Amino acid sequence: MKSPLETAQKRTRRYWYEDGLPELAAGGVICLMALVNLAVAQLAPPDWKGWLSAIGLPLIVIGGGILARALILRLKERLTYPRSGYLVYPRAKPSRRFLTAGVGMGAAFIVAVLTAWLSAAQSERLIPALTGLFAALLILFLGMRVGLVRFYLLAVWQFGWGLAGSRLNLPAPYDLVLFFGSLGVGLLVSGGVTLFRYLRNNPLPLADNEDQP
Amino acid sequence: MSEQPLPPWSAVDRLLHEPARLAIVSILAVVEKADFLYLQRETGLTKGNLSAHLSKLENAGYIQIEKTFKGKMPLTLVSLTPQGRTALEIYLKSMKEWINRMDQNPKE
Repeated sequence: MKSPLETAQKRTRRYWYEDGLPELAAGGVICLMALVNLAVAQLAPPDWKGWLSAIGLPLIVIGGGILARALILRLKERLTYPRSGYLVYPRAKPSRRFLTAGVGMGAAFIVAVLTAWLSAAQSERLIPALTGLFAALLILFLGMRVGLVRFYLLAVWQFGWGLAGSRLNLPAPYDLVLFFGSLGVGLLVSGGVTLFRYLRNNPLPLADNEDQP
Repeated sequence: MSEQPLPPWSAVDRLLHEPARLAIVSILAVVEKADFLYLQRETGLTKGNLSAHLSKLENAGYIQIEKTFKGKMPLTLVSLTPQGRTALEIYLKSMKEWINRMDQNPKE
């Protein structure tokens, strides 16, 4: 059984996710990735498709990530901090950031190799299911780390869509559109519901700071 | 079996041995800074009560209070000092020691 102090510390650590804004922002960026894949598949000339995907997706990930973070901070200043307070988290040391990035890249490499190997050994139809499974495990890990039950549901959702992708057996890049689209929509729905509930449960307090030390 | 005496109560930090102040310091231990509103919401204290506890912790040098503005709104930011962090670590260690020894000698 966890002590009330541990519970308070855990709640404080996951405060960043309390309003659903990070999920909304991440969902927006991932949906954009799905739309770019779809647009490239539908509209781009055949010779350009590979180039556009190779350049467009990293640009969206990096640019979207920077923009999303700025947007989250701005929205939190307007919506969250006046309602439930403001926290500054300690910045990770550069060595820890490099370690996290290294572990992330290593995990991505292992997942890519495993997916390629398993799909070569079995069938290409397995790729969406395996990708969905790995994405679900990643979401599950994040959910366990911050202690958020809604991330478990999101993991199930993503794995379900992975299985559906395998069953539908869509040609490239529509399999990617389905993968990014389902993940993005899942995050948008989860974030939207969380934000709605947060705003409903946390009305703006009256401005009065006379008693503060 | 040699029995170790329990550490004296005087060794326990009385300032931290108060649930509200312990909660405040525990929250501050996992962040760089927290504002007054967050601490009030998490501890469930009234403004006056929270102010009183913060003043005691500040006077002991366990926390630092910084008054600033965010736009036109006043913002009171609270952070744990290195002294406060050490005090919390010592307090938690001494309490664990108490509990462990009581578990070893349940009849006492």
